[in-house]
Amino acid sequence: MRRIGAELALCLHDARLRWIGAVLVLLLGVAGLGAWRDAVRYGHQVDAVTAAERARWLGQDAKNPHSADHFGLWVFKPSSPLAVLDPGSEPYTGRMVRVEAHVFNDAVYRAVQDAGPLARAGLGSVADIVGLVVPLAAILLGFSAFAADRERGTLRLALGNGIAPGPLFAGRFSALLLALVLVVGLPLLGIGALAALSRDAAGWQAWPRLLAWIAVQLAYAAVFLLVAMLVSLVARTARHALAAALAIWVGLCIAAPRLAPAAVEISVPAVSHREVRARIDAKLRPHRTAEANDSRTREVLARYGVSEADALPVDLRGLMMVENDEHHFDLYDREFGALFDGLAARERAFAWAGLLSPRVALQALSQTLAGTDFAQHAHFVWTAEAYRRAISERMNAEIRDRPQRGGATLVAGPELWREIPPFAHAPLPLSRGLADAVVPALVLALWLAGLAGLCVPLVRRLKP
Amino acid sequence: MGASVLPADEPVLAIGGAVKRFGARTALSGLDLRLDAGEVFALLGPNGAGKTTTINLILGFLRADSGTIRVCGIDAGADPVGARRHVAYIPEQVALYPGLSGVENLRYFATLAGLELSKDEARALLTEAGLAPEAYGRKAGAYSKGMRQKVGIAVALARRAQLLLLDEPTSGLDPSAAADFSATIRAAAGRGTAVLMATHDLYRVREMAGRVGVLSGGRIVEEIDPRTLDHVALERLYIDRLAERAA
Repeated sequence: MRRIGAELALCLHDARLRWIGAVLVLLLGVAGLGAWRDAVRYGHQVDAVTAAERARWLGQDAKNPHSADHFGLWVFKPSSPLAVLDPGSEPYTGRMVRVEAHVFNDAVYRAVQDAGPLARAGLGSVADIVGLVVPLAAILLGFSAFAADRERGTLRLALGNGIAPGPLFAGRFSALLLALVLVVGLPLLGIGALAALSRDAAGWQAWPRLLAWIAVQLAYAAVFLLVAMLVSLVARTARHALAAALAIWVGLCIAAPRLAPAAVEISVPAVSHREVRARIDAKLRPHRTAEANDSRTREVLARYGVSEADALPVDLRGLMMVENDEHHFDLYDREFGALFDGLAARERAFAWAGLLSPRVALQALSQTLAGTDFAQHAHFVWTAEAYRRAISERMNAEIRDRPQRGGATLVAGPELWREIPPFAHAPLPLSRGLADAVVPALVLALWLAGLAGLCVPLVRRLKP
Repeated sequence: MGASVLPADEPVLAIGGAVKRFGARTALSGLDLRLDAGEVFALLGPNGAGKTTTINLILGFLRADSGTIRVCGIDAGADPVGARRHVAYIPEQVALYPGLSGVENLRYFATLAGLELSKDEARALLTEAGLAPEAYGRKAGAYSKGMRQKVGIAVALARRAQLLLLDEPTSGLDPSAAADFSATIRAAAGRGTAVLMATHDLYRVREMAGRVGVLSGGRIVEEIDPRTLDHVALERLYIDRLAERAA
């Protein structure tokens, strides 16, 4: 510990740490506070629109329940408090779904449409800054760890006076990591705590998520600290070490993350949302013809052993709506289920693509822990669909169970509308996120272990 | 640190038949040297004679092509870190952290070596090394070469090692500082530290060393007791040996 203290004191004497710390705190602060302000504003808007939608639903005129089903309403995706740190797939996947009869609607209103200038520079979120700028900070802190000492001659004095390379490396690494904890971990904790305390965190397990998320970001920073120190162990001069470490940064943080999605798309082909829609339309078309409707009517009458609709114990149109929707539900389950399964398979493959770059592994891990990954989105979409089906089933049952004779139409009122509860969405629990995080966490651990393993023989052979 | 007791017959430093080549050039061609506790040995030789190579081999910074180098019984080639635990070293050019003061530099190096030095102990060591008290708190970036050398001496003294290696130790020191340095080294030898110094400085050699080895062509061509010769005779002998070797 005294060695780490001595190294940290040496580090604090270096103006670099102060400059790097100031820049990081500024960048993280701007991005984090901006995202927090947007999240709070969005939360207020969602609360207001949700209340208005509920009032609109309850206040609708007396009408046939099927018309009410078509009247529909909007439901909103509750955002994870940690979306302030890492919005993950949220900006691209839509935040609200229109719930209405017959249609499995896609989520709309993508936050990326409102993206500001920082986002266009690839630094729109705290996670972007951690992914791109923190490695740079780790490199700027670590590149000189041994190369500058070698160049200056202090390494010769140190090694020649009984200072063992192993403890020297461990002390320096620990001190620099501690410095990164100060300039990265603390600002992240501050922004995360602000988000967790000020936003509705019910069901999100925000605090354990936040601590795990910060630990992962620091592990990622440690990867690049090891890269810089590894280069520093072998470079003759600090300038050479910096040049080599920056080249590695370009490869791992800029080039490889662009190659990874392409590699995943090639290795795990998946159908597009548009193709699935087209397939569903094609399968529904023969079901919607007048002939098909007549055929189903005859089948229902035969099933009940009657020859006309008024003789049925139930309402024919209501019963046929129930059965039509069941057919649609099966089709949606199959087609959208396959689509979502395919996208989830891509997510898993993307986690393995982290072997190309720790930034890719971090992206997968960070979104999962923040609760902003694709699994959370899919869970919301299916929850919205389940709500839609519950409304349709209730409206259809109302029609089916109150048969109207002689062509009369059933009219329902507020009592029926009140039977529909407000939309409620519980996010996937952290345990599910942790299960999904195993692969990217393993990949990130492999990066750490691999780099540490490369450092060991170089440290043993450390020469001035 | 470095205070372990050696068996009576175990030299602090034993070099046997050390050979070191750099490509086609042979830096050491069968160097033999034995150094016991309390001895001061001066390696005398021109530039390129192999003095610094010898020190680098002892420190394990280089590995001998053949031969053995043992420090307190530890093979410096196989276990350089273990061997260095018994060694203190003052390079020709002492480099310090420019942003730290002399006291801070000394305490930093001591801490990394596993020693705990209070500020008072650090100041006492710097005084022993000859650094003026007004320089203790000044940033090392403003130190002269001689001042840095003195901090280097203090770093080495702090360790109380069994073997002290000095590479051109008095270069850059003014005459008064060099005289102080000689006294410091003699005191260290008096405490049982074996000292190996590589130098050109015949005057200091005669003042400090108990034995002198003239290094030429990668081996010691003559060993001299400097106390039996005056400065002029020592210089003549040294030049003659080098001339013979060159012929």
